[in-house]
Amino acid sequence: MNMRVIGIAAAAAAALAVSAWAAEDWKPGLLRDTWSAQEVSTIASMRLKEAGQRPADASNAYEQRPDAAAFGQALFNDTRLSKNGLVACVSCHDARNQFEDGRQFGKGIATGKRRTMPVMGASHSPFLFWDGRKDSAWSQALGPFEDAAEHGGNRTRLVKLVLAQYQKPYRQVFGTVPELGELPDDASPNGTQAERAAWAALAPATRNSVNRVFANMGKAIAAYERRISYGESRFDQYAQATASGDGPGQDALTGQEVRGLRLFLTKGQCVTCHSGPLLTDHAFHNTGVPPIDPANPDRGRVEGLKKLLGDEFNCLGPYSDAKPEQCGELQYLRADEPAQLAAFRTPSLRNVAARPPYMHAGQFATLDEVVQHYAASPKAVIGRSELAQPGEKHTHRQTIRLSADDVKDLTAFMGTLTGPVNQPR
Amino acid sequence: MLRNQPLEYLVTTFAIRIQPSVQKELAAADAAEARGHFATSFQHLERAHVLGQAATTEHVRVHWRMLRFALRNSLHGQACGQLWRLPAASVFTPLGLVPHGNTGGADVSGFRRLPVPNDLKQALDAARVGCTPALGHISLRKLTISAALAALATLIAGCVTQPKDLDLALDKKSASNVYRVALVPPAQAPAINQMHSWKVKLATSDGMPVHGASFVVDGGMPQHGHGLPTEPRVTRELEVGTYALDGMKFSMTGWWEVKLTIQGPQGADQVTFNTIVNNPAVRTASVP
Repeated sequence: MNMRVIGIAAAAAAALAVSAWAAEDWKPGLLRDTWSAQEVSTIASMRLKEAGQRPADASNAYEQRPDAAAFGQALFNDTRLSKNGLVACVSCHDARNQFEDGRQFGKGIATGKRRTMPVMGASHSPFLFWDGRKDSAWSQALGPFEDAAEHGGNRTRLVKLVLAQYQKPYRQVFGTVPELGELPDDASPNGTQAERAAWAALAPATRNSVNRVFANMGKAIAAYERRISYGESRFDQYAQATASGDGPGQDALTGQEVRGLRLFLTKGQCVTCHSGPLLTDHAFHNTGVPPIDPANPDRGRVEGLKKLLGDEFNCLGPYSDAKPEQCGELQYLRADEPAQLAAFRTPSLRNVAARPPYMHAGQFATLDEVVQHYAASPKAVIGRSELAQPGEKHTHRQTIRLSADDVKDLTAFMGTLTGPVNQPR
Repeated sequence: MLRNQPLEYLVTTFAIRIQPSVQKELAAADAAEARGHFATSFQHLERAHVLGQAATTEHVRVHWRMLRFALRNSLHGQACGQLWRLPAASVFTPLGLVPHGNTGGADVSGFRRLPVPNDLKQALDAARVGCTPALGHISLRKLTISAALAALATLIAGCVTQPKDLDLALDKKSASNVYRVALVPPAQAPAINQMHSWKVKLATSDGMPVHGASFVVDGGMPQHGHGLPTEPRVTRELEVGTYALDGMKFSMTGWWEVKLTIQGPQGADQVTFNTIVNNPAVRTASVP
């Protein structure tokens, strides 16, 4: 028995030495930090340039046009498009501050229930908002106008104001200005009871014309937002150096940051969702982030899906410029998954260190707390967390185990993802 | 330096696919033991052994659980039997030297082959679909590395890397040999997150194109535990036996499974394809 144990131990030690030699074999030699071929491929796929040209949005025929973008920029900054004359898109999406507001909850006419999302990267995402209730940037831009906590506007008032104040640019971009006749001041399918009644009293053709102008406001804003994008970060320099075998170029990151990247790709499991050039899979996940009000938790994607499918401004709706076969995301939407209860959109990690607080309701003030959350992987209050809870035997996932140093390294790595924000002047 | 590389040698497709079934038996064993049903509990451990014994990590894990069961319940003979089976499992499993169907307890010889119950056989067959046989042409170096690291494997946390024996054939027989199925990817590799279409070619096992079949499409990333990001469908038959598979999208690089459940004139069957999604721009530039 003893001899057998010693024999096995000796064989194991010898083989360890052999495999150490085998691993050494792999080293390309020139690089400061060595990665497996698979890791190099993953790191290379995370370079910003892999995002390429932003995909054209078939549902918005105007988004490439500079005149539409200029019109959209004016609308984006116009506080008259609100109930109290003080709120514009830019109020929460501050061009000097990562196109968001740094607050836990968005604050327009009143205080919202979720964290403001940045504008950069929006045109790459098939779904917008934390719950993905919109499927295009133009359709997304319409939501806040009629939200009581944001602009607090209503459809006829907004449309009348835009046609009165922006007749020339509207005509230039969209051709004709529709004859709307006498419109009530306040009418909307989403407003107060009185506004909804006034909306219902309108002739269908009038409602359609108002909706058309409203949709065009969104399309102009989307044309502007499309020109707002992330710039390259230190991480991109490192990834480029690593992919092209440039050892000195790897000095773009410190040893600690590289350790963080390694954890990001391995036992931190971050890359499972934060993949690709924008460091998001553009999908929805429940990771057990604690709801603000546990008695009345945010149901996330489940509600977003219902709104998306019922939205007259979606890709298949009458105001979209896309043919039905161009609406693949809606046609092949995965709509029935129980995992979508309390699931939220994976946010991009680009510039993440520059925009606390974090999560869909700004639950965490620092990146450190965010990583701690994943290290703890708590049970979800609503729905089911995809993460394996400590001690749980999960069929597919391993528990995320991170030491205090690991948390620091991961946070340091996320700091390398910050680059400039490109925007039209 | 030891990170990652050796794991690739250890983890087979089979190991990843069988893990949930083994886990189910282990959980059932826990539940039975908690209710005081010791005999039932050990039966579940035995079933877990039959399922997991061809995968090193699972095999070692089951023996470890049997040892702990024996110690908890003062079964000294069983504990001794498990003591030698543990290191043996870690050394011999990677070599493919395991007695098929053996239930793993000290009450049966550790070298005896036993018949496999039908339901477990199904689970095993399902996990083996698309795997090449365990002992094909494994080099000596791989063997040494895997044997040495077998015991360590359970300790190494992190992502599972791609199995080495992954069957990437896109033209194969369906699971019960009813059909011959081929997946035809788009001519130009799609970008990550780009919606695209494949073609499915369906034929009888002797090669006659099959008209009028219907399909259910499923799949995902076994290593990351998520499904396909979209719900792809076979939308139409382009010509006899060739079907359009629309709504395909891969949200990241790596190993993806595409599973088709086929309903056709010859009956129902299923097939699982493996595909590696690469970043086309990167493939040539980075790999030394």
